[in-house]
Amino acid sequence: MAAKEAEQTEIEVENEELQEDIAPGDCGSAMLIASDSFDSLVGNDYETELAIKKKKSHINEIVRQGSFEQEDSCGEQADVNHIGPYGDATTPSASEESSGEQSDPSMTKELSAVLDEISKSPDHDDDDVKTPEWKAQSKHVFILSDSGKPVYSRYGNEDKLVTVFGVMQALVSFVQDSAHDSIRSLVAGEHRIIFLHHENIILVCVTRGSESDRLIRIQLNYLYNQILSVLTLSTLKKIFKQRRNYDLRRQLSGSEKFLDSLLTMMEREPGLLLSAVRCLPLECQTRDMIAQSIVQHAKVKDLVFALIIANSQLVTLVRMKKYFLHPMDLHIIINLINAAESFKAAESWTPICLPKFDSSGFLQAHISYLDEACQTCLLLLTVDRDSFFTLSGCKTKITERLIKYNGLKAISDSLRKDSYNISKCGISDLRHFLYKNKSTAQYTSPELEAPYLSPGEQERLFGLYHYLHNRIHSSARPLKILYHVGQYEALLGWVTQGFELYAVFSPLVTKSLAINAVNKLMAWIRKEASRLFILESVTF
Amino acid sequence: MATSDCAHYIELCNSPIKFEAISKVTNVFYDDANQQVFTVRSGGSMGVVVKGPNDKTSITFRMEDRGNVSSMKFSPDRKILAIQRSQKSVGRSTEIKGFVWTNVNEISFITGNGVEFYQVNPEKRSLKNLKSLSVSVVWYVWMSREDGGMLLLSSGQLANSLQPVYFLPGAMLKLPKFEVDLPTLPKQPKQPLMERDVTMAYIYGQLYIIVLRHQPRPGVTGAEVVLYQVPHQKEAPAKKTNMLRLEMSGRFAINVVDSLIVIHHQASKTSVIFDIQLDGESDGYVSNHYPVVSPLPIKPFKMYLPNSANWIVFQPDIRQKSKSVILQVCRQMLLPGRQSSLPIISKVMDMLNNGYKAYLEAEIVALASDSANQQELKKRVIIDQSDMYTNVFDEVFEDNEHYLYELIINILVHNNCFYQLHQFLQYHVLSDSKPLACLMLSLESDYPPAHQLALDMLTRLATANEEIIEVLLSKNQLLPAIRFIRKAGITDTVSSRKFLEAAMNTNDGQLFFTVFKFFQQRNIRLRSSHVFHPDALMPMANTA
Repeated sequence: MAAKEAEQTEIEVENEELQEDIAPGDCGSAMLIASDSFDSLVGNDYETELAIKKKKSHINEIVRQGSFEQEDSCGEQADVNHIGPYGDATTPSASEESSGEQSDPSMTKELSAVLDEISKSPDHDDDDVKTPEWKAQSKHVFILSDSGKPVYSRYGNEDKLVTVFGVMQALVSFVQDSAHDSIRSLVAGEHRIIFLHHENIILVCVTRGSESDRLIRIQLNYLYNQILSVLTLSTLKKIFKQRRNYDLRRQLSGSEKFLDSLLTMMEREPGLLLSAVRCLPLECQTRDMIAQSIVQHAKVKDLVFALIIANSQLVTLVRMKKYFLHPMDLHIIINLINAAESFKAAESWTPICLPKFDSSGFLQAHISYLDEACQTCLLLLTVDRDSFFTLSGCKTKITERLIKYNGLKAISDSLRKDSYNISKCGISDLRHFLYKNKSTAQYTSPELEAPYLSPGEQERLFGLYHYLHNRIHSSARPLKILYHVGQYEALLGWVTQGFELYAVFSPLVTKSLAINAVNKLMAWIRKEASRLFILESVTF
Repeated sequence: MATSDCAHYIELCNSPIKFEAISKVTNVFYDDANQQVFTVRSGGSMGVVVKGPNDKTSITFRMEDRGNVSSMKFSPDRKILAIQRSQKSVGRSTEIKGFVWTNVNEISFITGNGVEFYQVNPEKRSLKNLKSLSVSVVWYVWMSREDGGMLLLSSGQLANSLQPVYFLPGAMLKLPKFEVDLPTLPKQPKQPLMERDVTMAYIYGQLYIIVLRHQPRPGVTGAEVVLYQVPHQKEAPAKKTNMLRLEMSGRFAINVVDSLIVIHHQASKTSVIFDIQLDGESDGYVSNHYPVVSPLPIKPFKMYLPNSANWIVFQPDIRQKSKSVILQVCRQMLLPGRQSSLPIISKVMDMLNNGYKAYLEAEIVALASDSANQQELKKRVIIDQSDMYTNVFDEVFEDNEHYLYELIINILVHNNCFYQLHQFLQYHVLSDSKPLACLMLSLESDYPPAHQLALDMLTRLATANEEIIEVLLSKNQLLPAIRFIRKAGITDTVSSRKFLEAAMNTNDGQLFFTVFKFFQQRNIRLRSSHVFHPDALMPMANTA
């Protein structure tokens, strides 16, 4: 990164000239659980957190409520743990569901595993992990079980990496043996090896990149949550309780692409870094109308969340009173719809576990695209396993209403290129920025423009944001303001109680110009807040 | 003063002023102040020939013979001639010792009872008394300066009580009186202080009264010269500061040339030189000096001098080639095979440097004050580095470079003494210049920090904006170059094409973007349009 050769100034001024105000984008009632960056990071804490949560499983709560209200219904307690994991191959399609023929997921999986084995040519296997390409990858991720069984490798075939996995398991268990220590990271030449150890799963990242260890641990945690979203924590525990050396790939086969896409998303999506969700800019009346369409047409029992996502940006979220969505869960949802092309083909019905919401069970997701271009995706999350057709009916009505009131057009307009470019702010020398409102866990950021058009440049830009974020949130020396002049740009990071702002300027900007520009930017965000952020939290 | 065979320190000017010898009809006077020799024939009726060191000051005229002339002097502007005919010709009761032009249109008469200071009104042909000073006068010595002069009056039985009087335009200032101690010899009466043994001169910017003491003190052989320094503050009396040991006796004459005291000994026909700035033996009050070099005669001058035994010495204002002497001495010191020891060389160099330093310091003071001091400064002999280089080092080292700095740098580079070089530059031992900066740039391959040192030097010079931009652009340091033009306030005048081309050549899209945007903003500011002037982009289109 440029930081190494960069001239660097660091200021820790107490709002020298920056005018700290209330954070633009604040709203009275939030729909997302606000969390700081690097929240819920340490693996061990996560377990205890889950243990507490487990006492009051949201899903069971909702289901019980429902059964009290309707005692004459089947009364069958949804044993969520019985539901098999989904994967593209095993996702029960709408038609399958309607015919009542549920294919045995485990059978399908074993079949596909055998097919996989057969399709591989032996000579190709051998050099798989020894190729220069494999070695040249800048960021490897390995997931293995406690006992050292391979679960996932970002590159290469896990079977050919058994020895590598074995070494990793040995490293983790060796350190663990001595007085409750746990290995966190290793530095080997230009590589860093970062470990995250959960109860049954070990996640390892080997990287040459510049991301901080902390950030990588967050990313590993996301991957862990991704696995949970397929299996649920309860299932995971049960499996390993029964067989310590169980090959988890049997359960996960087909969902590797979610892990792959999540890894890609982490390299491009600042929301994961900020622990916030990006909203699609919309006039607040339009957004209201969209939310009201959902409220009016999806008044269905047991519907917990209804949300519209367009191009990874949140359009609206309607929630059941009492329940909130964590940004991490929302990212898992976004990853799900980004990774699975099949949702574009037809309305889908898939189980999904949202680990932050309730790691012990599945929600059922009705996923459908509202427009022909497959940009606007409606997700209806329920605890009722049998409401596919009800929800499908809701979708139709919602779509009709959105077409009637030009809701879909407003969304596609907002998605159009140049609708949110940096020149809209009218601040010269400002090239890009990320602004996160802490209380609503939402962030806004303009589209990427010149000179950040090539993937390499975008990666570099996110490297800069990572650097800035890491310096500001340094545990040893947290900063409020950081001004950094690098080789190609000047960066200004500013964190207060209410917001986080990361701005990228031309390298020729001066400190005072940058501060001035940030003040102007804050004024602009304040003015545009109702458009940039979801300020109304709508409930059923 | 210097001669090639080194057998002489001193030579006489080869264009002497020739004048008729004194005879019954011819009288000769010398005006010290104007350096003019007056030859008066038959009381002026046969003509008065005035000759000075150059043609400008030479005049010939006639005047009516009104009897004996005992002295004649032109006023400083050479418009009025004052003639003294007798010792009482102005009609006074007291004896008139003489007169001096203390300034243009100002004249002072020195009588046995004191000094009378008059203003001359040329139109009315009248005198107006400005001030009088009452003091008994045995003899007087006058030394003129540009804006007045110093009059030294002697009084007392032994004429050893000296009263300096300082003249400025329209003013006469009495300085504190002081006594010259006369040697006491047993069983001999004290000899009074003679006019001819007293001289005044500026030495190293200080006014000194130089007294020749023929009779040595007990335990000292040979004559001595005693220097009394007249302090700048008029409250303090003159103080005995230096003693020059001649170790010879007989008749002497004293000249001061370039702050060196040259004493001519008639008997041995040699001259010795003293420098009071050289360390002498000090007893806490007075420092004793010995001749700097061994006595040598004045270069023989082939001219028939009928009255060579009869020499009168006045204090001339002699400009001499002291510079070339010093340089020749330095050259001799360094000549391989004949060189002096290192401590001597370093002592000489220190001396030259100190002199140069003192000159620079005085120059700074003088620049802030009046022009008189600056005039004074111009007379000083200093050796600067280009003198040293062209006259000394160049010959010794047979090198064609023009600057001592370059020589030093090259020697340092040659010996890999980069650290010393760096320090020399950082502490300004080598002073800044564009050629030096260019030399530093060329050294970058041997010593990479030289690049930055050169840039720093150019920045300090403050006249090298173009060079700095060129250097930065040649190194693809586009952003530092833009920051520089912004800081120098020349953003609006630089050629955007030059910058854009340099940015283009880096093949760095990010860099080009930044530079392009910068000049686009300049266009908006200057012309309210982001479009570039066609000239700025034409060649770009070809490369793009």
